[in-house]
Formats: sequence, C-alpha cells, structure tokens
Amino acid sequence: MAGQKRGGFAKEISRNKYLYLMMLPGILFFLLFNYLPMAGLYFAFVKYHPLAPAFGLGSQFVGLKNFEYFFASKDWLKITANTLFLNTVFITSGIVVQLGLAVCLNEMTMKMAKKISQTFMFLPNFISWTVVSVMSIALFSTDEGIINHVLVLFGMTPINFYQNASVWPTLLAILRIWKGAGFGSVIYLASIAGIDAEIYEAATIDGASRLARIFRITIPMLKTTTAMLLIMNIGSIFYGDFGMIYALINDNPMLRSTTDVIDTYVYRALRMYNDIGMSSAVGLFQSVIGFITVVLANRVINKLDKESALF
Amino acid sequence: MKFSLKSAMALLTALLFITAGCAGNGAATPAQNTQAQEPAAPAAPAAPERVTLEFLAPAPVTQFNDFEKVWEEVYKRTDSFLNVRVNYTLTTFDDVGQRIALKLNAGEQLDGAFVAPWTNPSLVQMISQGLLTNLDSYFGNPQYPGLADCFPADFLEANSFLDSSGSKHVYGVPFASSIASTGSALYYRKDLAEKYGIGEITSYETMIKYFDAILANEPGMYPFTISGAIDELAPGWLASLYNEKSWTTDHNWKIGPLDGTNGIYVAVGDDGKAYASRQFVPEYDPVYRAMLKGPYKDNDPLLFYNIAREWYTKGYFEKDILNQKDPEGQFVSGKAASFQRGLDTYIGIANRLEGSIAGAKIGAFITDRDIRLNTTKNAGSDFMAWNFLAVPTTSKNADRVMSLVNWIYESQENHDLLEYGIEGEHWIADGTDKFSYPEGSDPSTNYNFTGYILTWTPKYYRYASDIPDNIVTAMKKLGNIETVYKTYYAGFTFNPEPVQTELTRMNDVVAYRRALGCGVPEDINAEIDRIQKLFDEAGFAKVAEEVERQFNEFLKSNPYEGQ
Repeated sequence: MAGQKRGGFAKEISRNKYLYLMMLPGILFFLLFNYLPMAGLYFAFVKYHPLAPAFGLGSQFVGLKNFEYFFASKDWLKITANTLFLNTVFITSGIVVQLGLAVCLNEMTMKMAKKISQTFMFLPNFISWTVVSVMSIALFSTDEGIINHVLVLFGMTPINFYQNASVWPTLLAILRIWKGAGFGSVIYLASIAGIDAEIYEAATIDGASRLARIFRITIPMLKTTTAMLLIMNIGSIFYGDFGMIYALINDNPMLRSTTDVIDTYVYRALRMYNDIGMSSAVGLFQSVIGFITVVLANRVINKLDKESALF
Repeated sequence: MKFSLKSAMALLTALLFITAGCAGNGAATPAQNTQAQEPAAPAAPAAPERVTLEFLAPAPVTQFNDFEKVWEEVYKRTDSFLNVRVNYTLTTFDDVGQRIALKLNAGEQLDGAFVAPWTNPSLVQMISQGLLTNLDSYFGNPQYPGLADCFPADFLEANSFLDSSGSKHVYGVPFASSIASTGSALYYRKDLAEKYGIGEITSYETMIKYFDAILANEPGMYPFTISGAIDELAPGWLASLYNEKSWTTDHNWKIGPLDGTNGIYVAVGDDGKAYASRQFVPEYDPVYRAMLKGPYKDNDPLLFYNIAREWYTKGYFEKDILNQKDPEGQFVSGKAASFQRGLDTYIGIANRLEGSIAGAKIGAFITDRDIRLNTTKNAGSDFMAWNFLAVPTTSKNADRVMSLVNWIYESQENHDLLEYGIEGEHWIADGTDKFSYPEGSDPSTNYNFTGYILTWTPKYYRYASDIPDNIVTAMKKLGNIETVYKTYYAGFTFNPEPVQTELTRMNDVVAYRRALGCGVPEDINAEIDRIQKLFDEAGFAKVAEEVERQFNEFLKSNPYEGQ
C-alpha cells in the first residue's frame, strides 16, 4: 500500500518535475526561514545559555518560568491593549490613506504630475526611522521645535510633546502614514490597473459621473485586495513597530502610557539581562494570539464575503 | 500527501540533527568554558600563526585619528612573537553592553569585549551567564610579567567578581588611571565664564551664577546638560556636588545604591550587621534612617530632588532631557555650557571642545569638595575600576588577547605608543609622568585613543601638560592609596541570579526614577509614592532582602572596620 503511494508520489513528481522544480526555491525559502526557526520556540521554555549545545537548545528546561516576569506584571494587559490599539489605528488609517492615494493617482490624467506626485509619495519610505526621529525632534522639541516656535510666535503656549503621552498615538499614525502610505499604495495601483477598462467605458456610456465610477467600480473592485491586506496586517497586529516607536520615543517614561507596546516593554525589561528565554516566551505569546486573530479575522471575512477570504 | 508530510518532517528532523550535531561538536559546555584557561607562553620563539582579534568598545568618536598608523607600529614591534591584527568596532556608551551580548548570542567572533559595572548587561550579569573567561591564571603569572607588574594582588582582589558557583575570580582586565577613584568634574566654558565676569567656577554658588549668566546671555545654549536617557541628576550627582560625605566621618552607608542601577541602599549598624532600605528613597525607611550617622541623619531626603526640579523649571537644561544621550556632544558643539565627567577625561574633552569651537576654553570644577579642598581620608574608594576588557568564553584567542595586553603593560614605551601615539609625531614626553602635544598639532586630527578601553594603568599614566595643576594634584591624590579610605563595601559584588525575575520587572520602573531624578515630574511627593508602589509590585522588598543577605555574608569575612 505504502509502496503504491510512493509510486504515485514519484509518478506525480516525474510528471510535473518542471513545475516542482520551479516551486523548489520557494519551498526551500519557507523551510529555511520560516519553518526551521520554529525550533527556536523551544527557547521559551529553557534557561537559555548561548554556549549550550544545538545553538542553545540544549539549555536547561524550566517550563513556564520564562512567562512569569511578563504575566506576573499587571502591565501586560495594558501593554497588549496599547499594541492592539496602535496597530488598529495604523492598519485602518494606513489602508484608508493608501487606497485613497491610489485612487487619486489613478484619476490623475497629466502624466508628468502623476510621476512627480508618485516620487514624492514614495520618497519617505526610503528614509529610516532614525532619520525621521531627528526630524521629529526638530518639529516637536519643547524648547527648539518648529511647531513650538510657531505657537509662541502666535502668542500660544508651547506644547511639551515629549511629556504629553496623549498626543503620540496621533503623531505616530501621521508619521507612519507620511512614511509608508505612498509606497503602500502601489499594491492598490496594481489592482486598479487590473480592472477591466470596459467596465469604466460601459459606466461612462451609461452616464456615470467620475465620483460614481470611483465609488461604484474602483473601490468595490479593490475589496479582495483590501481584505487580503487586512488579514495579512492583522497577522502581525500583536507585534509593535519597535523600530519606529523606539527611534521616535526612545526610553522616555513620560510617554509610556500610550506608546508602550509589547516589543518595547520586552526590550526595556530584558536589555539589562539579555535573557533570550524570556524574550522568546513573549515572542511565542505574540505569535499564538496573532495566529488566533488571523484565523478569526479570516472567518469573519469568510462570512461577509466568501471570495475575499484568504483560506 | 501523507508521504510528502512525512518526508518534510524527516528532512526537518535531519536538518535539526545536523545543525545540532555541528554545534554540539564545536561548542564547549558552559561548565567547561567558565573554567580558567591554561595559559600558553606569550613569547614563543617562532611567530605563531596570524590571527585577527575582534574588539568591541565604546568611544566618543566613531573612529580614532591615526589609529591604523599607530597599530602598524605596534605590529612592526610584535609580529615576530605575537603576530596579531586588531580590529576595533566602536560604539556608543549606552549601546556597548547590548552590542556585545548580541554578538555573543549570534555566535559572532569577539575576542576583546569592553565590559563594566555600568554596561547593560553589566559585567556581573555577563559573568553569571558564563559569557566571560576566567582570567585568574594570567595574573601573577611569570609568563605574563607585564600583567604581574601593573595589576597588584590587592587591586585585582577588589576587581574580582563572584561567578554563578559563588567563587570570586578575575573576569576582566581592570583599567583605571588611578588606583582609588577617578573623581569627577563639571566641565564648563571658561571663555564664557570670563566673558560674564565669573572668572573661574570654584563653588556651588559660582556654578549657579555661571548657569544664570548663560541663561540670560546665550540664547540657544543650555547652561548644563546630562545624559537624561541614562543618568539621574538627583540624588547621586547632586549629592556628590554637595558632598555630604564631609558632614560625617562615619561611613557606614553609601551615598549611592549598593547594587548598581536597581537602587538598593545598604547601611551597616553598630552590631556590624547590614540592613537594606526597603524604599527607593532610602531615608524613607525608618530602620535605615536610624542607622545613619552625623548630620546626615536629619537631612531632607528630598533636597536633591527639589534642586533637580528647580534646575528643570529654571531651564538650566533642556525640557526634553529624557531623550538626551550625548551630553559631551552637546557640550563640544556649543549647545550646552557645561556637563559632568571624570577628571581623567580632561584632555580628551578639552581637545574636542577647543578643536570644534574657535576661541573656546575648557574649565573644570572638581565636584567632590574633599578632593577639591585637599582634605585627607575623606574621599572613599572601593578600589574598583570602572572599565574592563573581558575575553568572551566563545573566543578561541584568549591567550593571544592576554599576550597582547601583557605586551602593552610590559613597558612604559609599549604603553605610551598605544595610549598617546607615535612619540614626536603625536606627543612629546614631559618628564616621566607628563606629556604635551607637538607645536602646531591639530587636536581635532591628532591621535585620540581612549585609554580606558585598553591601556590605562596608574603605573604608566601620563598627565597632559595642559591639565591645570589643581586637577593633576587631585588625580594624584586619588591615585594614592594613603590619601583615601577603603569603603565598607569594597570587594562586594551582588549576584543578581536569585532575583532575576524581580530585577527584570524593577528595571522597567527605573526609567520613572530617572525622570524624577532629572526633575521632570511636577509633584515630587506624589511621584515618589507612585514609583515606590511600582517598585513594590515588581518585588523591591525581595531584591532588598537578597542584597542584604548577600552583603551580610560578605561582612562575615570583610567586617565593617569603622571607616
């Protein structure tokens, strides 16, 4: 029986060998970079020692002890909520702005203007968060920031941005949109390019206005793309954007109440001790709840519109 | 389908075994690595095979001027018996610990790691994780005469640390320009002090006058700056400036926390037993307060927090101080008019300032009053160095690193080459303990190696001829074991292992204390209550008990001698 199956498998391989050969790089990529590192999940349950055998996997097993420091602190709920809230703001604002920009670019008829706009929109994507942080200091610094200079010029009281936690979710969302939305709109632009031009022609003949074409054709046709991007983003909703937050906020305790996310908390707590076991434990927590959220999000989308669901 | 899944699993398992096997063959167990390595002879008759040693250290610059040139000279003199090349990676002070830890975790080659009690992770934490090589056998070893000469047994004893098995060993080559303590100074712009009629800063009062003059006359320049992203102005720094130590001759308590950044203060009672305060503002614990001696007993615990807040509100430093990481950079670029650093960094700071701002003149106000006033046995020291070179247990080149270090310390000539550069080109000897720069040399391009990462030793240390006499006198006083007293905690190191979970959580609260220490929160009392509550939830009491327990153990063999 097994031999028969093996034969069947070999036959299948032989029949489609070129197709399987083309798949091989992809399979190897995922195997090497996504599946093999999963062995590292075991680090969450050991007292990690960098010199232990098998890249540290041979370290002493300690059960759930590594989860203690995170879950014993009452902060974990707040930090998880912050992560969820900030990422929800980033994802929704990102999708709305990316979609809007793609539609606007698509509607532009002057080729030159379109190219120039695209270049300016893409450019911030290539600036690192560290450089953005220097720019943000120049903008928001209490003593010397441009915004506070302008406020003082108009007789208003300066704002201590770096001590006012409530303004940072908005600032972070704005900076993130400024940096990434232009580049993110490429996927939507590609999807729009794939919409059959005949649909627009038929709509124009039927007397549909430009706005009607946008809202009745373009945006509905982007539903599947939006759902796909949404599910993919939701997959990492419990991963804070450490690079962005740490570059902009640093270790400023005054801003923690709204900006402290799982990744910054873990970094701060563990940088003293460099405990791979404890950080792996939190990483595992993020992965598990991220996985659950993706499955739930896909199920919701499946119920709303079967075709837009990923699986 | 079933078959393909099985195959994939088999492949995955095989890969895991292969990788595990590779690591298993190559990597030694932690137990093996924490053992002292048997040193080989440093000077073999034939040159050993060439190796490149990878070093990582912090520095105020990204690259040392003329670094390659000086090392070429070192190679010329050592190739016949050492045959090494040294590759230095430089990073910032706040980042060095993490860079080293990441390199070690990633399995990258690292042969010389800069570690210190103040790095994150600290020297002690790295030892407890078994990351550093036990260097005992290299010291006092006739095969390494340079090390034997420059690192006396007493000094090494004070710079030995407990490992996870509870025994003390040397895990890093200790670098200090003076045997006792480095002392600290407020570095300021003498040209500006003269311009505004203050002359020289000689007291706390003239310092405040200087701050006020800068505030009134130099728009765009802060009177003072501090690394608010790491340090706290109060209570430690301000306390040292006020120097309460002179208020009493009983030193049964420490002006700062005993266990480093976590903030556990310990005092020794008349019965010779130690008590660790359960409050992060230690005097708020009545048991601890009752153990203090002299006028300090009645001191206002909030004095320094109030001063920090006053400095903050007056604008003596920037409002966004908590994001400031580079006070020296601010000072030498003219953004700040003063900052604090060790006395031993005088010449480096002077060169950077005077090289970058035309007409700028450096001034240094020694912040420790007893050192400034030259009183005897009032400055204490634990004889502990502040900077170390460690060899990670992952390095295969411990012998080569230590042979190189040995060569540096074998003679004044070898030492001077690396610390000051090529004689005649980068520096000129001035007697046996001073040096000057050749006429017309540009301080901004001259060799500027920082001795604290490899070459500092009181034996060969030279003072720059430009350093004012009062600073040299103070440094010499600090370098003389006869003029300082030995603190009650000299030789004690805290092993964080038993309370690591609590310390990890406390570490998260430390930043709030830093904000308080920099005068940022408006309501000091409310903030102290809030922070103490957070510390308590994180396990402050348990950590205090552990520090107290370990320190009482230490006192059994090192009793308080009434110093």
